[in-house]
Amino acid sequence: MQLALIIAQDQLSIGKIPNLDLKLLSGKKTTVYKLLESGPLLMDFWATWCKPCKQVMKHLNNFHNEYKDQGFQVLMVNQDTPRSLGKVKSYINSKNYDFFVSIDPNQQIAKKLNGQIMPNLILINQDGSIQWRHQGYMPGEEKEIKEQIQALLSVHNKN
Amino acid sequence: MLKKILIILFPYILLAQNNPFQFFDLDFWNYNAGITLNFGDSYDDFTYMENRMDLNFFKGNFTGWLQYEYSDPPELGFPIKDLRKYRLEYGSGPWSLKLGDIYEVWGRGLVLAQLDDQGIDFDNSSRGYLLNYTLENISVTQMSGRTKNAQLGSDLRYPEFEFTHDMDATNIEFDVYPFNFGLSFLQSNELHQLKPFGMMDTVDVNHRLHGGYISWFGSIADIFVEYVDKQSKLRTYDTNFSGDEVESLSPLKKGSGIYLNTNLYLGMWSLFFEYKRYSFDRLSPVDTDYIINNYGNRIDYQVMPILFREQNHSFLGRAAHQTNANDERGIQFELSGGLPNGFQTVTQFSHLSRNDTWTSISPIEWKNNSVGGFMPANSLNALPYKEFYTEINGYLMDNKLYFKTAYGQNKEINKINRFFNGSAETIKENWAYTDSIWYGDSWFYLDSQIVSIDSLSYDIETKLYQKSKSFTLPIELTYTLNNGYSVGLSYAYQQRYKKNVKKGNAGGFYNYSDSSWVLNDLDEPSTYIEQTTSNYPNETPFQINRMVSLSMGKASKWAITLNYDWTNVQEIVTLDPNYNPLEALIYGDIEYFKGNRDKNSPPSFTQNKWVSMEFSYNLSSTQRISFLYGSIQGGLVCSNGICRILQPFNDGLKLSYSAIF
Repeated sequence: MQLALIIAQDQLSIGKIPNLDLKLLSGKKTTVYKLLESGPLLMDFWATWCKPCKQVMKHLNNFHNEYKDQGFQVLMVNQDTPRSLGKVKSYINSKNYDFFVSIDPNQQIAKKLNGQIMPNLILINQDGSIQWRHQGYMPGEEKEIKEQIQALLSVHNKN
Repeated sequence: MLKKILIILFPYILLAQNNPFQFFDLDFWNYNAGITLNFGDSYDDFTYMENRMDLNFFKGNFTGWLQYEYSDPPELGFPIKDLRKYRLEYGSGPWSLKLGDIYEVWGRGLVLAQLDDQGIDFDNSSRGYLLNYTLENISVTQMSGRTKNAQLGSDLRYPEFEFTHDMDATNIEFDVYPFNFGLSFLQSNELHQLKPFGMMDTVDVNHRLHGGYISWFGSIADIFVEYVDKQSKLRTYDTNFSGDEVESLSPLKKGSGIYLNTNLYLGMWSLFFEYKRYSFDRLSPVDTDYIINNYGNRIDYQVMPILFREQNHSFLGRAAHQTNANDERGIQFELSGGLPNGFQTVTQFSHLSRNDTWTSISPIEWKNNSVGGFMPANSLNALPYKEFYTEINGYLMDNKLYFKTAYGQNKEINKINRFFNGSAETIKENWAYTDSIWYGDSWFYLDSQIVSIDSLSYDIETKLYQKSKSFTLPIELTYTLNNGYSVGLSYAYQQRYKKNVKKGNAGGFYNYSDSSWVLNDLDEPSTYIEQTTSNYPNETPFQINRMVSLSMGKASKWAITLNYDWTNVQEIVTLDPNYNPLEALIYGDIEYFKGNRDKNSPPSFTQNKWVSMEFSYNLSSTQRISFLYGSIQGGLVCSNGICRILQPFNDGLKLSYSAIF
């Protein structure tokens, strides 16, 4: 019954994110909570064959660079399977992106966060609480993404 | 189902023991949930309903996952109204334990890659346990479980075969940055079904895989190499004198696979290179098609790099190569980088072939010769595949106009039925009559004998194969307005050729006494025939496809897309069963709206065309609903090198809803 009530609500308090192990594209390993030590985090799921994912990445990289002085970071979780995993790093390098990229070839991080639909943005506060989620991307939505980041950072900076 | 749910929830009940009622309070939980609902109903009764709900729980050291599915029938696969997946994870210090449905990927999948791809009804997860110990630079994983994987037969929707694997696997990984090493071992006992459901005919096969991988990460380059050795044995059971059943293993097949990937970085330019050589079962071009009868080769846990481009345009996907994971070698290059004005370019080339060239010694006997060196072959009888793709994309008009234009082409020898190019000898006996009598007004011959033998030697060529090629030009434009609205236009043009080629001075007849293909003209060995026929219906020389897509959307709110797909000839001819109002509107057919058209007999100008309109609406940032009305062309759909024939969707409605909480 409670779940049904939640479904009926428009926006939810989405709870906390688990401390997920991450394998970065650079070969290093980290966790979500380690990344959160510097500040809020925006996670997004993407794949090399996903068109809207690639379109939003350009904006997310801009936000990563624009707000990194305030501790904000972007983490892109790649969903390519081993069949095409090798191309991920060359794609990121050719775009000169600065955000963090981790690989999730068996989609287990995506499953734990219900991120199977791509792109799938999760804005996380430094304490691990999920502040905002968004599915899909249409051109122009980068404005709303930016507003959400700014709103979170304004609260974060006050604290 | 209840038992499985209780198993997953049991640790949380323990965590809530200070206040048992806390367990029923949502504030007690850290959780998230996701729902996807898909429904489709076409005019010709292609109906499906797929509903899934995922629940993830996090509390303390425990993580739980439940996936409930109500699909009756799903778009592809068996109906299910049950808990489809579940897993409980516990982690403490260096230890972690998983119970339930396990998905693991080691290296690039030459030994183990477990995935759930519902688009092609592929799921090779194992139900069992996984134990991991990770301390500083060393990680040891041991897992065990059972996997049931269904395989389609003649039916396009419902699987007819099932392969069951009982597996045990171990992986040890060392991280000494910038190096990473891994060693893997996997053993599986497979119950391989040989006949469709209901007819029990199975074989027991033991598979053993030993693999290792190494990667190095540098600032201007990185490299990854993986190798696997595989052997399979047939398991049979005998009863000894004590009446006990004793297992015996007899060698079945041996194989190996190697994969290499390297990236070179220079500024904003990247050069990507891949090499593969998979040799798990080298079957003749004719035998390759019978997957069910060929066991003991690559198993479903091996999901390996395909070395051709994963296309995201439906036209390029339809023309894609179907990978042969048992017997294929190849290379792939991709150069990507930035151009002035912020434009981006990608150029890719791929070349694959079998590990052998194949010659048909007779209609039932094939001989293979290993392709020399490491590179893929160009010879037609090694079934080569070549692909080239180039793309440029970027933003114009103050970043308001996004454009992407590409050119893709490929060519392939799809199938060989007969391929012989060599010499043959035939013996001609010269007879003479040695005894005769005159009776009435004729001679009657009573006896004869060979007086000489002529041996004839001549060149023979007989070939029968299928080849295909295609080129595709997709263009995409999206213009974003200041007020949040955007408009998009995409257009794609494609030409596809599929030909049957028959050539040579001999045909398909074989003389077993001479052990030779029979000449077209016995008296004139040089009579050469070359015949190329189109594989499309009505001898249509090639297929032309065009697709136009118009879209309009308001950011964060809604989007509407009109798709128009046209072809000059269908590979598998289907007739449009209904004339719907959307089609009439698009074709500007006023007669339809005046009631002068028979809806059950669409006019000829509607054939070979598929029109659909999709409207999607974001109920919130986490809830999305979409409706599609119209028709979608069926045919071959390829995803990750695996292809399936999709049934056409005619004059129907599709509804989908997704939400995350």
